[in-house]
Amino acid sequence: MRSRVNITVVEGYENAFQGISSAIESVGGLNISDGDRVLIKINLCNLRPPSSGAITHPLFLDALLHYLRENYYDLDIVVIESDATESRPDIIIKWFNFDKILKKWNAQWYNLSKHPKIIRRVDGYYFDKIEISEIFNKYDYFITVPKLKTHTLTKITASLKNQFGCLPYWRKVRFHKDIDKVIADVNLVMKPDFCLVDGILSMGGGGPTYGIPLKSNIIISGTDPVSVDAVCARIVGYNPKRIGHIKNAEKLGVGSTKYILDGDIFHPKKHNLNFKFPIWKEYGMSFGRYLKNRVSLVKYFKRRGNNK
Amino acid sequence: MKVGLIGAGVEAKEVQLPTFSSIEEIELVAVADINEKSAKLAAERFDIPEVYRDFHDLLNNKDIDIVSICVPYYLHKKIAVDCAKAGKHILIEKPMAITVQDANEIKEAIEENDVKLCVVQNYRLFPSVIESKNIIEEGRIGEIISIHAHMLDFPSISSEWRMNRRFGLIEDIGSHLIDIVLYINDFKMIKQIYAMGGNIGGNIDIIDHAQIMIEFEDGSLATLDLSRMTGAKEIALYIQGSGGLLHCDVRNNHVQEIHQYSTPLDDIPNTIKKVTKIMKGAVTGDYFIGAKQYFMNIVTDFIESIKRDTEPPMTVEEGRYVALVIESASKSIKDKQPIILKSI
Repeated sequence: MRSRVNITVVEGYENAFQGISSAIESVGGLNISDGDRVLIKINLCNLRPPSSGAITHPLFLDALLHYLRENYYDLDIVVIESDATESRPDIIIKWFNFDKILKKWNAQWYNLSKHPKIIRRVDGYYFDKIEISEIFNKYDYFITVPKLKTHTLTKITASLKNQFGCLPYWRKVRFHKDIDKVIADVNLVMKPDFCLVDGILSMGGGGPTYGIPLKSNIIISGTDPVSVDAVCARIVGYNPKRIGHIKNAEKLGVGSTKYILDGDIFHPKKHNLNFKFPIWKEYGMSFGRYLKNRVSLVKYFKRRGNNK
Repeated sequence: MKVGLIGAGVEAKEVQLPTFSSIEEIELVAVADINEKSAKLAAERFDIPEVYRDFHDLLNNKDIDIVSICVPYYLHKKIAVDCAKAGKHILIEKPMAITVQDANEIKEAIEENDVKLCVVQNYRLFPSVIESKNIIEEGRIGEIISIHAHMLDFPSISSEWRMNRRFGLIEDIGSHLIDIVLYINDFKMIKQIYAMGGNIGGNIDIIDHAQIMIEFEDGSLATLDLSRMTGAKEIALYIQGSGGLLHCDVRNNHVQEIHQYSTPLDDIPNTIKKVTKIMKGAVTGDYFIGAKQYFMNIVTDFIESIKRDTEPPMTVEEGRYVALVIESASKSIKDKQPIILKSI
């Protein structure tokens, strides 16, 4: 059966609560019971202000927590994120007032890199054993809250790529070579139950950190991360079948790129939103990356040594 | 609309009078200047029927709807207040005033007499400034963190009122830059201003280069760099946002967005765009006329605002804000300390 993906048009973060309510309810709501432990994975990829479009907006998290507290009783809400090569979320949550929001809605903060880990077996493309945070042993519902962004390596970053940030290692850059395989594997083990993509302020151009903020004013929601990402890819301007991690995740059975789309009608071009770089620039940048990859310090010094 | 002009100097003859006479809706009725010879010359050249030495005589003419004040800025207050009392709408050259007290008196006079006032801040209408403003409003560089603006001009020693006043640099060219920076930053409330300036010869008490630092209430910062001694004519802004950098080359009318790195991949097409724009401007002549061409837009917008009873394109409140920065910066240079503004 095809899963439903919804697009909700929202005018700015001040209307995020209404937007989130409608985005969640239009795909059948959350399958949560009172007293459940709910994990919320946000995206704090670097020390970038919320107005840059690089990180989950604090007002978006505020609206989601408001929705959960208003509709369910006695939930144990845990907001999760891990350290990354260039990110220390413990500092970022203070920097941009996430800590006050967590306190306001009585939600816990959990840095996946700072807590014990467990090992799971996985029949994936890259891992056969994978180390994950022990919190994934004791939860009832997992909501992933990514940003809608372009990504110079994976083309787009949305629901599936957000779980890459659940890997508890800080130096995740070492997986970049095989990132499409790693993302698919990670989603086999830590598959979200619900995806709520913050596309109110998205990022185009050379994301995921230093791209161009775009006021796209949408929320994309669904229960299947592959379907949700397929819709996100279409919005950004890519064919989902040509995006490595979406293709791999579908093959591994994480979800399906076939979906039923409902909600508001949204055409990025009508709103003058260009997520993608022009083709000449994309090719120019991939050529630049190719040249950069050829140069490593080891190779560089070896070559200099030989020349001497 | 019948227009009277007070001040028949170079600015009037080169910019204002040619513009007025090219607008069909406008009938030039009178000109007044303390230098009667200059007034007569202007009247002959632009076919103006009435010539006065005293501007009060011009104000007594009941047919006049709009008075354009085109005199050195330190004379603005008295003339503007008298114009308002005579019930005339006012088009006033920049800066509207150089002290907050003067600006307040002008504001009170125009409010009491229910007339409209528009400050001629034509640099704000450069397409590059408008484009920058639109990019910022679209959120493409996030929220403004800091603005670095510089305006370099050649010295104009022949124009005594521009050069011989101690803070002439800030009051004259500075008022353009202050207006652009405040406009770009939405005329946000200012917390404090610190300015430094000096004379490169060091032998005379006239500021020929200065830097004004502004801290806004929302935490954003601005640095304004002014000089008449560099031997370059430049006006540009680097606007840093939380989501990128914007380089606004006002003089060459070009805007460049920088996200992450600025690479030749961006520089080459940007340079081509910039050169094409300049070439186009050079062929049409716009490039050489510069900011003066936008005076026309201000006049037509002002007439429209009078007809429709709406807000003029550049308001008295904005003029007052520019006056506040000019006064505080001058005071800061004099006292060698920052000026903390609690309210205006």
